[in-house]
Amino acid sequence: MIETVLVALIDGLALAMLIFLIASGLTMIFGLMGILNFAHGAFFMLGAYLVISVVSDLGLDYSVSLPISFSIGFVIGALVEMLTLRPLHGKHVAQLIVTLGLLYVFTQLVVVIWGTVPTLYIPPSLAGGNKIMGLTVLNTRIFIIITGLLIALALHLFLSKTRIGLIVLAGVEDAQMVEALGINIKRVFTLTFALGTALAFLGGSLAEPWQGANLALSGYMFLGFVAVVVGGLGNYRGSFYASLLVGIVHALTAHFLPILTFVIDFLIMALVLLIRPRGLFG
Amino acid sequence: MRLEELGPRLRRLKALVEESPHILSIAAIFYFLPFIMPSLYWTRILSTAFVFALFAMAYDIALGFTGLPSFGHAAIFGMGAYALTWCLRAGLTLPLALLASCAMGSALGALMASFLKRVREIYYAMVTLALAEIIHMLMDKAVWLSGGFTGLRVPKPMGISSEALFISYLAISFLAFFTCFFALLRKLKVERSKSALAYLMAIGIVFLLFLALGPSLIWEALYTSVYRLIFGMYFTSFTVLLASYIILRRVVNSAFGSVLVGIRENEERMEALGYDTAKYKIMAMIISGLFTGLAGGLLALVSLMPITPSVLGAEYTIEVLLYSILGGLGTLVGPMLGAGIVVFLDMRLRPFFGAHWFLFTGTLIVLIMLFLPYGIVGTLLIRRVSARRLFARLIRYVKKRRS
Repeated sequence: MIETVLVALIDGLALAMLIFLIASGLTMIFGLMGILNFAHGAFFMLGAYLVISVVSDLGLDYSVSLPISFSIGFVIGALVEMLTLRPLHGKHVAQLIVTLGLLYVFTQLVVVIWGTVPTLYIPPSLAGGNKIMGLTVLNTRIFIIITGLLIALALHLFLSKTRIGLIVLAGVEDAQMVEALGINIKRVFTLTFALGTALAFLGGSLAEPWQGANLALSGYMFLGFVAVVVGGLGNYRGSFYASLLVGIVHALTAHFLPILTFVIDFLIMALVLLIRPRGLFG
Repeated sequence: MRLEELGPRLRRLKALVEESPHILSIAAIFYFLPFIMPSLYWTRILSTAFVFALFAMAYDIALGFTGLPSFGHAAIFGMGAYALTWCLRAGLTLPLALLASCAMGSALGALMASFLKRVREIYYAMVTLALAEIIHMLMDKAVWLSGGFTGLRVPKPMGISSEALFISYLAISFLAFFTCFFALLRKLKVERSKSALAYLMAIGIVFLLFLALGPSLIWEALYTSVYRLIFGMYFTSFTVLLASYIILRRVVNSAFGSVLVGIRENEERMEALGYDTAKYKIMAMIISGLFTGLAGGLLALVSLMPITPSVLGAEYTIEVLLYSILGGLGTLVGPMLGAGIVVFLDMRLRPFFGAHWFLFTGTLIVLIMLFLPYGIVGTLLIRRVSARRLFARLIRYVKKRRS
C-alpha cells in the first residue's frame, strides 16, 4: 500500500512537470493576449513525435532532440501567431475558433506524417530503474522531474531577471500600458506565443520516453487547463504549484480509482471556478 | 376546438402564409424533392443534411446570437441520440422518444449553463469542452449503457414505414403546394411582386417534374416497405427541421432574441440597462440544448447505423462549428446552408481525403475565420446594405453634378 502511494507520488511529480510545461505557456499566452490556445495539446503531441523522427530517421541521440524540438516549436509558434492570430487581434471568440481549428489541423498532420500506430522509444541511458530504499524508481521519471525543475528554474530566471522577460510579465499585468510606454507589443505577443509553443514541444519530447508517442497525448491539454485555472490566469508561479497539485491528484486517482481519472481533475477545475475564479494561488 | 374558433384561426394561418410565402414555397419544394431525385441515395443524404442543419441552427443560438462559445455541444448531440435509442429500445413510440431527446438536450444544456453564473467567454469554452470530454469518456467506459465499441442498434420505430404515414406525407405535400400556389398567385395579382413570380415559377417547375417522375416512385413505394422507410425518414426529419426553424425564428425575432444579441454585442451595457444577463444566457443555452438534443435524436433515427460513443466526440463540435461559421454566425439560414454545403462536400470529397478529412475541415475553419469572418449569408447581408448605400451615394453625386 505505502509503496503504491510512493510510486504514485513519483509518477505524480513527473506528470506535474509535464503539466507545468503545458500550463506555463497557456497561462502566459492567456494573460498577455487573452487567447486560450486549444492547439497547445497538438503542440505537446508534436514534440513527442519529433523525438521519434530525430532518433530513428536522423539517427541522432535523444539528448539532441530536446533542443531541436524546442527550436522547431519556437519557429512554428511564431509562424502560427503571425499568420493566424495577429490578423484577428482583439476578437477573442474568433481567435478561440481559429485555435480549435488549428488543433485539428496539427493533430491530423501527425496522422498524415506518422500514422496512427503508437510508438515508444526509450533511450538506453534512461532504461531501467534504481532501487532506492526497497522501492524501484524508474529512470525516466527521475529524468523528467529533474529536467522539468531545471526548465522551470530557467523560465523563472528568464522572466524575472532579463529585460525581455520583465516586459512579458508587465504585458501580462497591463498590455495597453506597456504599449503606451513605447514597446512594440505585437513583437512581445509573437515572442510569448512562440515561447509557450516551444515549451509545449519540449514537454512532449520529455514525455516521450515515458508515455510514448500517441494520439492520446493531446488530452494532457485538459490537465494543463485545470492547472491554469487553479493557478490563476497569467500567473506562471501559480501554475507551477497548481501543476504539482493536479499532477499528484491525477496520478493518485489513476492508481486507486482509475474509472474517475480526468473526472476528478475536472471537478477540481469546476470547484475552483465556482468558489475562487481568480485561482487558488492568484 | 369549437367550430366558431376555426374561422379566425384559418384566416390567421392565411395571413401568415401571405406574409412569408418563401418559407412555405421552400417547404413545398423540399416535400416534393425526393420524388424527383435520381435515386434514394440522394434522399438519404438530404435527410442527414436536415439533421445537421438543425444541429447547426441550434448551435448558432448559443454561439451566433448570444456569443457563448460552447465547445461541448457534441456531448448534447450524442446524448440526444442515445436518449432516442434507449426510448425506442424500451418500446416507446417515436414522438415520445423525440421528446425524450429534447428533454435530455435541455437538461444537458442547463447543466452546462449552470456554470454561466460565474464563468465567462473563454473560461466557458474551457469548461464546456472539458465537460463534454468527461461525458464522452464516461459513456465510453459504461458499456452496458452505451453499447461500447459495437454500439447500440436503433430499432425502427413503429409506423415509420407504414402506408398511413406515406399517404399523409403525400397529402401534406399537396396541401402545402396548393396553399402556397394560391397565396402566391394572389400576391402576384394584388401586389405585382417580382419575388412571388420567381417563387411561383420555381414551385411550378418542381410540380411539373413531380408529375412527370413521381407517379412511378409512388407506385413502387406503396408496395415496398424500404422505400416507405426512407421516405418516412425524410418526411420526419424535414418536418422537424421546418417546425424548429419556424419556432426559432420567432424566438430570435422576439424581444428575448434582441436581448440575446445585445448580450453578444455588449454584455456590460445590457447589465447596466437592468437585464439579468445570466438568466438570459442560461435560457439561450437551454433552448440551444433542446434543439441540439432533438437533432441528435433525429441522427439516431436517420443514420440507420448503430449508435456508438463516437457520436459524443469533439469531432461533431468541429463539424457544427464549421457549418455555422461557413454559413454565417448570427443568422438562422446561414448555418443550415453551411450544413448543406459541408454535407455535400463531405459526400463528394471524402473519397479523396479519406482519413484526412479533418485536415480539410480544420484548415477550412481557419481560412474562413481569417478571410470570410461573417460567413456566406452574413457577407451577402452586409454587401447588400453597402450596395444600397453606394447606389444612394451615386444618385446624390449625379444630382450634384446636374445642379
